[in-house]
Amino acid sequence: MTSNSAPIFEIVRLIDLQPTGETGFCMLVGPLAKLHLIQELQEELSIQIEGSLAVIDVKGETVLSLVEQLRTKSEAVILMYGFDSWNDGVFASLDINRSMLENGSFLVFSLDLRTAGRFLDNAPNIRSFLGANIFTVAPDPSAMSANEIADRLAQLRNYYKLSDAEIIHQAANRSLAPDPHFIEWLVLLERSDLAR
Amino acid sequence: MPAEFLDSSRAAKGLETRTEAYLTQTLLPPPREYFAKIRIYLQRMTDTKRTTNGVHLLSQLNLENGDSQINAGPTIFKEPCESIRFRSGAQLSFGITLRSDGRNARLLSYRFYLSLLPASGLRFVRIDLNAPKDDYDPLHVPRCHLHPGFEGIHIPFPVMEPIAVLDRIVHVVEPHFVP
Repeated sequence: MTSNSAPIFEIVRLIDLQPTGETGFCMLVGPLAKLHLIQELQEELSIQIEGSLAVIDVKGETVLSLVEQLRTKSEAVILMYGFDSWNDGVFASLDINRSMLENGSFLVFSLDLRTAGRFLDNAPNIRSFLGANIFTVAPDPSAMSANEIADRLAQLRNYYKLSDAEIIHQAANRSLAPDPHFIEWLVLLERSDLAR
Repeated sequence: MPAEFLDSSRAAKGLETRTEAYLTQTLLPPPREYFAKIRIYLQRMTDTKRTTNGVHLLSQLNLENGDSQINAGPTIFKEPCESIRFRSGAQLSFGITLRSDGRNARLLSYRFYLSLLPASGLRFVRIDLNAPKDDYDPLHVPRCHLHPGFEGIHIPFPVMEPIAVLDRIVHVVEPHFVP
């Protein structure tokens, strides 16, 4: 099984590109840090496409009861989890009933690696629906790294010919110029408390 | 001192009062959410071919005290660098500082630096919102101002939320410099 690593932002971009009214399929592989993943997905959906998210725990559900739930949901995206409780026969049954999954939403199957393997082995037709949309969720790459912080601080020191200590001293005695660069400098030093 | 200069000083102070009122009243979403809004704005600008890149340049630093820095491109603009690029050859970098109480955020400062090609007639356009300060001269350096290619000239600029500034730069300012 091959999967692409992508942050939630890019996965929601994929959902956004899905033609309206067509059912989309996507698999998220990895340990389910459920609340975190659901919250992040919900936030990104609401910002990018103003779409809503439904969540279904399939544990204890049959294929028919799951299909019935999907039929009554109108949310743009439906995330399903709890597939580790399903045996291979249930996955095969889901594959046979695959056309009943098509409810116009974007369907997200969230599974651990082992269960994902069983799912794909026993549901080859759904596997073809998924195509390349099999992802491991990567952390958001936007957090500033220690290297980036160091690089930005070096740019500031070099441009203004001032040290970090001088900036902190000027901020503490309220003589620091209000230029946006200086407040950024304080944030990078984690001393923005000195900015009024 | 000439009377008209006094009027300008009074007008400048009035503008600062309105700027401060805007900053006090304007609540932005928490920094992570506002960051996501900027990201999707930049993505849409690339999708519609207004810019050739942008999203991968965005970064954020969120401090425990609620202050947050959102950047795109270098802190000090210097050729060559990785920055948001327009088809005209213009390049944009920006930095935004927010202060959050956990539920909402307020603007502390921002800088938007639009670097232009030499043929444009202007080297750059910079829009700054300075950090709050107790004592300053609002006539010569209003808190929110525009530099029209000269560091020493601070033209008053109406304070707007950062995405609105981005939008003006992308759709109003930069198109003037397309050769």
